[in-house]
Formats: sequence, structure tokens, C-alpha cells
Amino acid sequence: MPINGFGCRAQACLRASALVAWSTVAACFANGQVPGGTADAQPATTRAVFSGYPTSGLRRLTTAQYTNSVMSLLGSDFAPRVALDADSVGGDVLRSESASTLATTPHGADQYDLSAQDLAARRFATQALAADFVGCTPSLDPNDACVATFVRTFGLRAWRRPVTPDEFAAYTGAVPQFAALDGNVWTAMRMLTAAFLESPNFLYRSELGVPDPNGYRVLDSFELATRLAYLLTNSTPSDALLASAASGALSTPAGLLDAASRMLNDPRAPAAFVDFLGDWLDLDSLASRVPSDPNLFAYATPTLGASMRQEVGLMATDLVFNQNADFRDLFTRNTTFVNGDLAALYGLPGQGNAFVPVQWPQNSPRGGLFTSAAFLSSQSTGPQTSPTRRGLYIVQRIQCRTLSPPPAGAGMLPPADPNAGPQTMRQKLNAHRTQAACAACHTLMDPMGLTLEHFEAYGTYRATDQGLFIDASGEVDGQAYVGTAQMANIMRGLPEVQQCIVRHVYRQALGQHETADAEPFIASLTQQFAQSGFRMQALLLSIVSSDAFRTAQELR
Amino acid sequence: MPTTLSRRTLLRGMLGGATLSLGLPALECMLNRHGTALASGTALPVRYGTWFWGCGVCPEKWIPQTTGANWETTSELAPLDVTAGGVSVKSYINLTSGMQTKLPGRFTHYPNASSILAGNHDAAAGAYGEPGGPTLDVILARQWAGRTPVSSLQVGVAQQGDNLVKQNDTSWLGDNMPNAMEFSPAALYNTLFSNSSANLKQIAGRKSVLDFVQGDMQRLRSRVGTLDAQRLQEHAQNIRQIETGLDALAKLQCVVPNPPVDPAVQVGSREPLQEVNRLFADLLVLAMQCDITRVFALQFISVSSNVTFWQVGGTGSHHGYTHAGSDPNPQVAANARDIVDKSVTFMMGELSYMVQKLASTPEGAGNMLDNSLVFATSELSDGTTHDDNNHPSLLIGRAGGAMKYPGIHYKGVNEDNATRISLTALRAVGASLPSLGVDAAATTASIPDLLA
Repeated sequence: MPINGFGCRAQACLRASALVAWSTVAACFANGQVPGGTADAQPATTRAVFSGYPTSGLRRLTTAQYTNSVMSLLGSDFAPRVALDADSVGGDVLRSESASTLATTPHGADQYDLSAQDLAARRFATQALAADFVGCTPSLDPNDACVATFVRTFGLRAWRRPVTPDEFAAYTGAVPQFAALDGNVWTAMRMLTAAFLESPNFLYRSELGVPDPNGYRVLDSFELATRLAYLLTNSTPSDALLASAASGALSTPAGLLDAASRMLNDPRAPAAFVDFLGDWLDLDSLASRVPSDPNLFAYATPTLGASMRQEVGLMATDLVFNQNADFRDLFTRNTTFVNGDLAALYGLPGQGNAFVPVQWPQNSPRGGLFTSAAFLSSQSTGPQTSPTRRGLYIVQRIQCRTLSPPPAGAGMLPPADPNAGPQTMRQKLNAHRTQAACAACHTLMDPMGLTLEHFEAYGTYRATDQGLFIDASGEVDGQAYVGTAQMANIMRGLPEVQQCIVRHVYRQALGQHETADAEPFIASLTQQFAQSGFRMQALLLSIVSSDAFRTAQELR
Repeated sequence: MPTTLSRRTLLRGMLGGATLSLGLPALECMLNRHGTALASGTALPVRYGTWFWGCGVCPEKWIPQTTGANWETTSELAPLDVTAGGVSVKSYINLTSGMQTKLPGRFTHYPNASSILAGNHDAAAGAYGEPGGPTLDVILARQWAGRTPVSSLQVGVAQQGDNLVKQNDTSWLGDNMPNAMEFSPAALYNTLFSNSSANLKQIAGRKSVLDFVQGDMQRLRSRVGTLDAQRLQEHAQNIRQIETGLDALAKLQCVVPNPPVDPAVQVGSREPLQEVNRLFADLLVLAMQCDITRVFALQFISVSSNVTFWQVGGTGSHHGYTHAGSDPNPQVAANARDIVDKSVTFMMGELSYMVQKLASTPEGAGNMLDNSLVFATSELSDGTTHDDNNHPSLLIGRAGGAMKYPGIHYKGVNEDNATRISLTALRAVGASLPSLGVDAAATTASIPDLLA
């Protein structure tokens, strides 16, 4: 076959169209389904036949969870100094979900080992540090009381449950064995500490549960305390929470609710929520994506990307924890927080690193998440805007829709034709609307992205595009609008968007995507969310006190 | 049987902290009189590397018109037609055309890549069909585990991927199990050399703890489901690898070079691809020369990469330029094609940097390229048309004498299965496996024409 570098090879096009019927919008959804649209309405209370519970298994600590847990166990001076395996495979899969499936690579195993050795060496660096940490004076006597106490107490804290008799025997027995290296009991205690931190019982959270008479698996009190602590504080359970677990206080929904309500006031709760939100909205690569060189972007500073992410974090913290307001205000609120980096980009007065609250004026094009520099920059890979990427981002992350991948031979935006004269992005993307094969998906993605065309790749505002009028009109779910403010208002009212918020909290809490069988549960949670006036705290408490939080279908 | 050597004698008289530019006469003092094997009778170690770049080539500027030996050098391969260390690098190259990647998928980049890198992909996972595994580097790292302190090294040069920053398409442990990929030369340096001065007592302590933790692994494994048992087994296996690696480390001495400094990287704009690539190439060659590892995978750019080749005048996504080659405006198309051509030529220059380094490092009676095989490959042939035929693969190096020398241009017939190239590479470096790949990619037959 002659090689033809120009023009779409006919065979490739035919192959693409033979595989998928690209002629209708419905064909664009993976499996032909709009999420949530088709599940049987089955009451979540009929436990004997309900198959919508999540699966149970092990969840590896994320890097943030590992760091927080280590510092909680050893002290705030002891931050890990290694680069663990990546937490996520990306896409619309949360770190919290990847934690249920990812394997530990050779590199990751090595890093866990180096980190455990490094942390233990630092915690035992001087006699004073070591004595303070162990809390008593150990000896090499096989029945030493100090060693026994240490194994029981540190074991409980590190593994988030009491050590079993087998484990107790193994760990106390290891001390004389480790001491054989240099005859020093403190060397052995240091190695024992490293072993606790390198054990799978520390690195993986157990959510295995135990079989119940109905054929499900039910999480025990310590597993519940752990699930609660990592969801709400992104760290290991406090000593008080472990004591509650031991006392049986967490074994009822009321007990869990009570503990969770207290934890929402924990100073670590906002950071835990923002960590989740950053993952959900794909804001974590901003620091490396947004230029730091002013030659590439006029408002670039070394901290700009981090500042962008922080703005969204502050908005969310204010909304969820300070105001406990309607979470959908995130899309439409007219106040935010800026520091010097952002004030310059937004054209506001202000300088320095500290964030201050600001209110957008009545006639401002900005307000809410969609016009934040973080949201606008999140998918940018260069100075040119991509309405398709921005649109897909909204479709996936705000509407929770799953689109089929592009067909083979699908094109990319062409580089600017120097002789064609200026064109708006809407004109450049004409083919996305006029060619049926493209239109099936692009009519779902591009309109919202095109509405954001008043904002350049890194969030700066422009009234026109190369002097041309920007048509910011669009349509979502059959409702027409002009501009981002109207779009945001429609979005906050869409049941699909409200459900999408619930879906993300579900995935974060339970570490997996909801199955089709879980749709009635999602629907019921969304109803409770609406009844609360869309309060995020209420949604978190609904999930925590639900059957699905305690009950699993089967082991993964 | 692991080869264990003390480098103490070898390095006598050399100063610690020697720089990367010092060529070490690797293994010299241990060699037999002919310089072809270790004095103990063991053959010199053979090394393997995957060198991957995304989005293919311009076949009209890549595929030689002539087949067999003395193939004509095309413009995109010209950077590899050079002399280094007194030898012709080109004579070490076997290249293929006329082969086709076989795994199906709606969005072809990803299954194409899996066809050549693993012969296997996870069609059920993700929107695009995620890469499957194990990939070639992982297969070899597992087969050769324990022979060297580090079983394999995986590095990425460009950080801008297709959808992700630091997207890894080149090294996968298995379905849904991406391997860890290092994007920082300074961090790779730490992996390689942070332990080199470790005293034996520290190594023994590390080993005792690792060994002890296996008990917890076993106890936990008995309580979990199938997926988790598999995950824990993978983890436990990797811990065993660290233990055997530590054994090898205890017996190894190697000159530690000065640590490199990472150049600043701004993802999505002017990434310093050349600087990062060369720092990595220097470290990888040194790691293999010191026998710290025998396996690497280097991903220059990801599958469907959106990196910008500003070095050749590009101002946007490489993947974008490949598709703009079919723009209805002939001027736009020609300009895009030209940028793609220059980008591919640029990448071959960077591949050439590493290959030249291997060729100019003496080892035994020859050079390191005599004892290495670099499998340089992409996911498809022509990015503009998503052509999965004429797969562009280069097998560079003699692999200890297993590969045809001087190299040939082998043209497959009847759209033959490209996974056969991968199997050929694995067997050439001594891997034993009856077959590679699944479904249409499955093959039991390597390509005899490429072997000596």
C-alpha cells in the first residue's frame, strides 16, 4: 500500500465507523448509558436481596495519608522523606479508589523500606529521643514488660487495631533476634519500629469485615474507626477514636454519627476535604502545569499554580466548614479569596502571599468555580485554550458522564493557519458540529468549553478573541444560556449535577465506583442531600451512618 | 546463577567521586584472556532496554527503500548513522518494516503500544483500553531478579503526556498495575547511589526487617480476597527482590559520580527534553556498566503525547501536529508534517546519544553495545493516519552476539504480527519464554532473520 501522509486514510475511517455507530448522541456514552438513568428502583432497605453494597478489601494509604499517619505516630518532626508510588492511575478515578486496586511496584516496596528505616533511625537518633518514644526501658529478657507494652500500644496505634496473639508473639520474639546484630536492645527497638511501619498492616487499611448471617460482610469497630478517620481527617484514628472503637461505641449508626459529627470539627477536617476536592477536580498538577516563567505567561510566578489551587481550597473550606452553606454555591458564589499572585491575574488590587476575601462586583464576568483560574487552567497544556478539554472536564467531573473514547483517526486542533486570518475558537471547531462522526460527542463537550472562551488558557479574561466577538452562548440539558453565570445557575439546578456530587463523596468514602445496583442508594443519598439544603456536612454524615458504610457485598 | 564481583580491585587507584565522564574499564580485571567472558567462565552480562517514543514517524522519511544488509540511511534515521568509539553504530542496527500491531481497540494508540510493549492489554479497563502487562522490561526484571542490586529502572523524559502529567505508557506490571516511573535524574541518582556506601551492618539490619515483615504478609494474605491476595503477593515478591538485591549490593563496589542537578521543567511548554534525556542516559549506562542493573525502560514521550517540540519550531501538541498532517489546507498540512519530521529526527538524535555512549564504552574485547540490546519503538507507524502497519522498530546492539551483525532491514510479509519483534528482542537477550502476547498478538515465533 502506498504511504499517503496527507488526508485521512480511507481504511482507518471505515474501521472507526464500523465499530461504533457515531450518528447519534446516545452512541457517545460508554455502554450507551447515561449514568443513573436506567437502574431499577429498588428500596435500599430490603437487605436480603440488595446487591448494591460495595466490595470489601484492602486500601493502600495514599501518600498524604501515609505522611499524616507517620507524623501522627512519631511526632510532627518526622515527615517521611521518600517518593512513594503514584496514588492514582488518573482519569476520573479518585486516589481513594486507586488505593483499592493499585499494586506496590518494586520502586514502591523499596521506598517503603527506605522510609521505614529512615524514620526509625531519626526517631531513635539520640538516647533521649528513643527513651521518649518507647516510654520505658526495654531489656533483652524474652518476657520483658516494657517490650510487651510497646508492642501492644504502638501496635494498636500503627495498625489501627489490637495486635493478635500471633503477632504479639512474633514482634516480642523479634527483639532478641534483631539485637543479635550488635547486642544493643535499642537497635532492636529501632528495627522493631521500622517493621511496624513497613508491615502491610500499616501500609494497607483493612476493610475486610467479617461474615454476617445475611451473607454480607460487616466491618468491625476498628475498621469503621479507620474508615471514618481517613475519610474525615485523612489520617490515622486518634487514640480517643480507637478507645471508642474498643468500647463498642461505634457499633451502632448513632455511635458512628456521633463520632463523625465531632470529627467534622477536627482542625484536620478542612484539609482532608480539600485534598479530596483537589483530586476530584484534577487540581493537583496545577503547580507543574501553570507556567512559572513570565516569558511564557505574563502573570507567571513560581507560586501561581499553587495559589490557584489554594483559592479553590479556601472557597470550599469557607462553604463547607465556616458557613455550612449550600454546596452548590461553589458554582455560583460571588465571593472568593485572592493573594498577590491571583490579584494580578484577576486585575484586582492586592499583593503578598496572604489570601484575603474579595467580592466580585455586580458586572464582573467572574464568580464561582468555573471562572476560577484553577478550574480554567486545570486542563491547559499550553497557551491555547481547548474548549474540548474544558468541556470534557465538566462533562466528566461535574456531570459524571462517561463518554466513549474518540474514534480511530479522530483529529486534533490544527495549528493556526498563518494565511487564514483570525478565527475564533468556535469557528476553528466548526468541523466538530458539521461532521456527524465528530458531532455525536463534541456537541456534548464543546458548548460548555466554548462558553469559557472569555478566559484564556491560564484564566486571564479577554473581552474579544483577536478582536473578534466571542459567542458565549450554549446549551446544557436542553436549557439555553449566555455566559458562564447563566451556565453555572443551570448546572446547580440539574439533578445530574447534584447526583454527581453524591457520587464523588460515595467513591471517596467507599474507595470504589458505584455499581449499577447501587443506584437506588445514590438516589436516596441525593434526596437526603437535597433535604439538607445541599449541605456537604450533612451528606458526609448520611454516608457515614448508612448501611453501605458498614456493610460489604463480598471480598474483592 | 547470580554473578558476584568485588569492584574493589577494579577501582584501585581511582579517586572516589569521579565524574560521569570517566570511562570505567568494566569488569576488566575479571575477564578471561580473550575478553569474552568472566574468568569464572560466566559470559559477560547482557543488558536490555526499551526506548519508547509516542506518535510514530513519517514513514516516507523513515523506512529505507532497500532491505537486507547495507540498507540506505533515510533522513529520520541519519542521526544513528554515526561512528562512536571507533565503530559504526549503524552496523549494530536491525530494523523492521511491514509488521503490524494486532491488538484491537477503538482508539488505536493505546492497544498499538500494548501490542509492541507487552503483547497484552486490558481492554476492559478505562476509556481507552489501558496498557496491559507485564511489559518486556518487567518480564526480564522478573526473570533476572536477584542478579543485580536493582532489578530494573524505569524513567520518563517528557512530563507532558496525553491526558496526564507524567503519564507512564511504557512499563506496566500487569493489568491495572502501572510501574513506577522516575522523571527526575537527581532522584534516579539517589536510587542508584544512595546505598553504595552503606555498610554491611546496615544492609544486614535492613534484610532482617524485610525478612521479618514477610510473616505479616503471609498472615494477612490468608484473610483477603483474590485481588488483594494478588496485590500482596506482588508486594511480597518485590520485598524479596530488595533482599536479593541487598545481597548483591553487599558485594558490589562502584565509583559514585557527582549528583546531577535537575533542570527546571515547565510542563506544557518548553520542556528541557535534551538535558533530561542526556542526564538519564549517562546514569543508565553507568548503572549497567557497574552492573547495578541490567534492564531499563526509557519513555522519551508518552503515547499520544501532547508535548511541544519547541526545539524544532513546534508551538503546540506533538499529537496535534501529527493529525494536522491531514488538514484540508495543504499548507497547514505540509507545515505540520515538516514539524513532525523534524521532531522525529530530533528524537532519533537523542536515542543516538545513548547508543553512542554504549558504543564508546569499552568492555571486554569490544564495547557495551556488543553486550546490550536497545529496543527502540513507538506505538504506530504514521501518526497522521494512525497506521498500525509498518511498525517502526529498531533493535540496536548485538546482545552478546545473538543479533545479526551487521544489522539488516527486515521487511515482514502479509502484515505479519509485530509482537514477534518483541519476542525476538526478549529471546535475543536470553529470556526463556514459550510465547508472548494474547489474542491476535499471540506468537510463539521470533524472527530468525534478525538473529545471528
